[in-house]
Amino acid sequence: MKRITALLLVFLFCGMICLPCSAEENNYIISDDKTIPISTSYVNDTVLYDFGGRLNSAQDLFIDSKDNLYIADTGNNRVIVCKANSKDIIILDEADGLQFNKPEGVFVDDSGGIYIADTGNERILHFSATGKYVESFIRPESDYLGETYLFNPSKVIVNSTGYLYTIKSQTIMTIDANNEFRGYLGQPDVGFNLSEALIRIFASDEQLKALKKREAEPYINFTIGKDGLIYATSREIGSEIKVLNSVGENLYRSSTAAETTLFNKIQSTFFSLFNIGNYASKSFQFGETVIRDGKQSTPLFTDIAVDGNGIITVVNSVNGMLYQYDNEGSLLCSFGKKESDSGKIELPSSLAVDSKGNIYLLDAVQNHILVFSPTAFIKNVHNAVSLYNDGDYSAAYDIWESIAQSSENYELAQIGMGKALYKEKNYYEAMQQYKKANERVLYSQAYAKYRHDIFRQNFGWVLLGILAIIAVLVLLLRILNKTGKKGIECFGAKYSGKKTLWQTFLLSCNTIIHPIDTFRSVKENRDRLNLFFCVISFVCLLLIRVISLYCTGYPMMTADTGDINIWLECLKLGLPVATWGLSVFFVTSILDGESKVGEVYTCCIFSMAPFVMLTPLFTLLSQILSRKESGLYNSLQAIMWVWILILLIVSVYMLNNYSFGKTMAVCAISVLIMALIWAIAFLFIAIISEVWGFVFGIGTEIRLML
Amino acid sequence: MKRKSFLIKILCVCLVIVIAATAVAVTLNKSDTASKIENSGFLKYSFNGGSGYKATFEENGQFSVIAPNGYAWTGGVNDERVQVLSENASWQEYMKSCIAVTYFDSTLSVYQTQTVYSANTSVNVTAKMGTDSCEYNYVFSNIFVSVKVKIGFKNGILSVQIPADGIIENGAYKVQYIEVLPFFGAADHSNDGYIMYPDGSGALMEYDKLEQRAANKRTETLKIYGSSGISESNKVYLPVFGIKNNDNAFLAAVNTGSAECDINISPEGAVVALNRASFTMNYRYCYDVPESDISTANTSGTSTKVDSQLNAQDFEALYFFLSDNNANYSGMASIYREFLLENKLMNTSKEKNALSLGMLMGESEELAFTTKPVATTTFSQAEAILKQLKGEGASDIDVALIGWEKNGATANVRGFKPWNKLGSKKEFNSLLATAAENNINMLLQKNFYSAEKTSTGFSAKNDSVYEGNGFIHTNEFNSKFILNRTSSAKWFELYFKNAKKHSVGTRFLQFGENLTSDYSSQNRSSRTMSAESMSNILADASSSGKVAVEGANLYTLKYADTLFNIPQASSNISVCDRNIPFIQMVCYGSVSYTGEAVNLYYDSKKQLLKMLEYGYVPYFELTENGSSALKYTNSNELVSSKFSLWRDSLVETYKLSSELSSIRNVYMTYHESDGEHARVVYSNNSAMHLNFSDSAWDIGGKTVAVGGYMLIDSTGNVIAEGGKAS
Repeated sequence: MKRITALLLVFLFCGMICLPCSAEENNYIISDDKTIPISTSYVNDTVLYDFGGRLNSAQDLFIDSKDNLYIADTGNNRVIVCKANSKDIIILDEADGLQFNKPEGVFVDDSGGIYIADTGNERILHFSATGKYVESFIRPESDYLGETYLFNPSKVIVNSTGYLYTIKSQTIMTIDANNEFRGYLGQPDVGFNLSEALIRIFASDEQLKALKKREAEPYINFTIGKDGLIYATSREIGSEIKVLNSVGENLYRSSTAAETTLFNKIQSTFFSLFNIGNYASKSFQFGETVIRDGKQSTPLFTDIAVDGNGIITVVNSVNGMLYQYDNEGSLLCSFGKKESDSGKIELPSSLAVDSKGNIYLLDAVQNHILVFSPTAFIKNVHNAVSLYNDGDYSAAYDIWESIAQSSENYELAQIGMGKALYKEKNYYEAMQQYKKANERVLYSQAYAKYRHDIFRQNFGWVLLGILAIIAVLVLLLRILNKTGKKGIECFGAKYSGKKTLWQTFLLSCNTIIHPIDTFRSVKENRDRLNLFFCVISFVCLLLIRVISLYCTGYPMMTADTGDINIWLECLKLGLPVATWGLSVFFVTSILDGESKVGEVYTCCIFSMAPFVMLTPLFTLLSQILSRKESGLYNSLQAIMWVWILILLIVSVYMLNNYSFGKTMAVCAISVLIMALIWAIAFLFIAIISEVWGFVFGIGTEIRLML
Repeated sequence: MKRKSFLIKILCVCLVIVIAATAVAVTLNKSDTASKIENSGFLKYSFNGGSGYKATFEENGQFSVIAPNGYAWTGGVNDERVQVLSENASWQEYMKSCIAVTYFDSTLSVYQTQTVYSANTSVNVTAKMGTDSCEYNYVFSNIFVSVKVKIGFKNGILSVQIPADGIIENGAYKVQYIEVLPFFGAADHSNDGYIMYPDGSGALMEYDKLEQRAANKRTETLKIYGSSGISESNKVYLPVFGIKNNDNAFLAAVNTGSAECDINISPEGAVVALNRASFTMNYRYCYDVPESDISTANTSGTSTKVDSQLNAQDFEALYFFLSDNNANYSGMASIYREFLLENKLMNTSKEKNALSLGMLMGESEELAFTTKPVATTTFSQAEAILKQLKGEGASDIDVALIGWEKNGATANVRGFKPWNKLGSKKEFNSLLATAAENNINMLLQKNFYSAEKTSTGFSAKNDSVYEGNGFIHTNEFNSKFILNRTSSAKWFELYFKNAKKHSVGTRFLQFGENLTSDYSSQNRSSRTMSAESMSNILADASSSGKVAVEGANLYTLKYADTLFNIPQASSNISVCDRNIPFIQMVCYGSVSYTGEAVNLYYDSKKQLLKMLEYGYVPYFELTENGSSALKYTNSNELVSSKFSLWRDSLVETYKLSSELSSIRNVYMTYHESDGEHARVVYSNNSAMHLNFSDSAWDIGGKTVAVGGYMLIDSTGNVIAEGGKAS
């Protein structure tokens, strides 16, 4: 039944005490894939190792509300109960006449009832708080479970209504107190996979049979919070941490990886070419991707612990690091293994938190438990999170302020202060805090409110400003019209000889209002065009693009200024322009076209006139817009690009005297040719790189042999 | 009658011989020379080494040192124990051996090492006795290698030497490394003892902690002076380890060849049931060579190559024996400090400041296209800070300017170029003048060890250290390089001629933490030669201005006035059971040191106590403008640094440090700690008591407050105390 062993001085802090040991130094948060050090949050000052002998591949750890410690000592076929504030250890190793067989899970309910997943014996055992055997739960009888269904519970939790939950691969199985099957919870969506869909279209029947059925990613571990919600870790990319309600819906945030479907990827790549709707935002993932020896490893959270305030801590067995999140999914801190910390954390298998906030980490290889104590810094963070959740924003602000002083780069403090200021309607200060934390979405919200206040206070001036802008625009159009007419004149019969840069510029202005006349003039003066204008204009286009990227209003920027890759941005605009001209010339040469390279490029550059005219205006407009108006901003940009596209089509039509249908066909083929040119260029670069690697490798070997 | 007289004659002759032999033996004993003893087929030579210690050497290479209290330290494990400890013949030989030679066959295309032990029956040992030493020549006939080992015993110190010319290789088998006295002092957990090793501040592997170690116990190898590279490794500043077995202990220290040595620490259960420690002398190093996809047979795409030439470096290790009250890590630290001071291997700086302040002036943030300058403290702001501190009465301080050159703290600049983003040259000069007027030691931080790709005046091809595989030694991003010794010296020269003009000291980054060999054809140097080059630079620097060194590698201690970034703990490797202030006990009173900045403490009360316990000079690293601008720079570990926030704390800490001036120039002779209470005794017999516990600590009628300290002088008077009232 049970064996109670009183051992003196074996449990309570019998491990070594090293103060301060090195583990506390590795503390950081991850912001937009960048690691930012923070004040030390947890200190590992205790190691528990002796529980009436060493543990052996222990797989689970649980701490109840009275801080008693329960360990599923899997390799030793027992469960250890260590009473808090006492030196007694209770060992449970058999029930109902049967010795435990590799128990992998242990759970204790509010009344002290102990539930053990006796995995090897395919049963869940229930013991009383005093260690007396109560009942067993075995494979439930149900038509929903097939005959071959294997009941091998590895983890178990029990809710307040007496329902038992156990992980069954990608779902959570529910059993009631009468050992009846009550269904599955939390089955994730398998999702659409393009490559698999394509394979299924083209595969033969035999190949289809050989294809493996795609299954959802499995759950790894779970626990239950004081709020009755199930906190689980999973292998599902983007939802590695889940908080499930009673019907299995995930209430927790997902990482940006989860939001990036194939369609989203294609959409964002396409729109990023045109700078539409591609706003800078922080990427987020649970844990971090670890790169070792050139290989990437996504996080594998072997266990999850949740405290009374809903603060979640998970452990990543890949890198031995612990990550702590608040109830909104913001990373509070990460800590744990250091590179030089060889041997202390090797294979973390379980995690638990006691009432004082100490975190216990069980290691299945080292067979010990590391105890991490919270520092004043992280206690303050927990306190501030709790106060904010309770709606005491002013008190939360004061704590966040002190946290920001002790760790100036702690973004959560800045966000916390920003939120508190926002609630107090101090929008300008809130914007400053959000900007420090680089939180554009929250900044935009505060900015919208701030702008609203400013506009209301200065309504007359604002109205006057709008009228002035309209007047300036009208004036601009009139100037363009006048300049354009002059350009047409310059390209008329009166002016013979090669066109000057100024004359070409005047004509390009006419593209905005009279494009057909402009392209006709280009065609008529095909031998007298000034191609140098194209080169200068091309450079100007790139400059405008780059300047606009840097000068766009903070909420509407496409990337952080530090992350803008000028060469990539130039390539994104320059490559389509350069290859469009080339491909149009190729296609029209074959399809009875009349145009020459010079005039194609001239028209192409002229067609970009809306870009030159509108981009600075959009940049100015972005200074007063918030993300609420992103629809308007995106629409205006889309209109500009459609306008440019129409101009390009018109130019092909005018230069070659094609019918409308043929023009559209030529344009479509030209786009395909453009794609082909890019593909060939990419292949060429790849081959050159491979050849260089090969030659370099051979050279190195020869040098070393000599 | 005849027979009787014959017998009498014989007896007389014998008597004469005995008298003569006794006389010779007495004479030999007086002059510390060897006496010959017959013992079970082998000859034994006994030395009286002074200090009450005796040593006995056998012709077969075995030896033992007998302490005055009768404890015997044996070179190898005795035959009876060997049989009990292992059934494996190789391990039995290993345990009995004085040296273990690891070699490889140079004719094979695949690198593979094997080890041969001096106790192997095929090894031919010849012994040659000297006046106070015994020279063994081990001939490993199977591999055509012979190694000479000279073991001496004088003044109670055992010395083990392997002269470079004593290693002779006559065939294709090449020596890679030699482990010296692998089982000297090896003991199991039935003894009360530990092994002290100098990782970080110092650490103990305690015999009685056998149970707490995991099943996969392993030997830990520590590279003395750090590994050859850019990234951080275990910080092993001193070439020592110590073993304590009950009331006896010894400290082993490498005296010659330390830069090429490793320290091996094996816990009980790592193959055999003995705790042990030893030195390994490296004669050849390995390096990975990438192979092209065509020729490579393995999947990793690399193969291992080994130096073709033997690194001809002499080796000498000294073993200092301790007994009774001195047989502990305090005794080990004391005897090593005495050794360093006697041999002038450690500086004795008289100027020890009450506080040290680092001011981060500037940094640069790397953007996709360019770098963005981040000015955190301008020259004029720094000057204003100094004036404020002077106003507060805090003038007995060292001030280090960090990131004062172009592109700030991360970058490295050839020459002496104050960054114009931080102010004009005039403002810079004014700052230095203000420091000089107020008797503040001003140090400029420079890095002559490594350089960034973007460092002004740096050429990766010409200025870098090369690896054995012919590649430039760099990090994974190809952004950081190690300066070769020629460039390092040249860069220093260019800087130093200006630094001398301004009479400022220099703060050397990385000089006492990393050491690298260089395989380039023009600057080829072993780790030993690199250490010499660094030492020469420090010698020059010490001729004008104060010298501060990051880390505490032994070769820097001779010239360093102060050390910085000295860890408060070890790097917590698998054999670490307890952290101790070993490096601090060696340096305290001679060379001052600073550790983590007080403004970065996570628990200021506890860590301030620790700072006092370990004898650190308090250190602050501050900026005028706060550290939020450093968020995306390499200096973002400075999480809180705004001067206005930390000024009061700095002044308070300065006052606390000033109160303890009576123990600033004395040695730390004893340290003990149980985690809750610590006691440190100094050479002037004053003692510091520190209470880390949650309750007051009674020490003979005096009470140390919770979280407090108490400094008591030799007459029992309280000199200083602090902490919460109980």
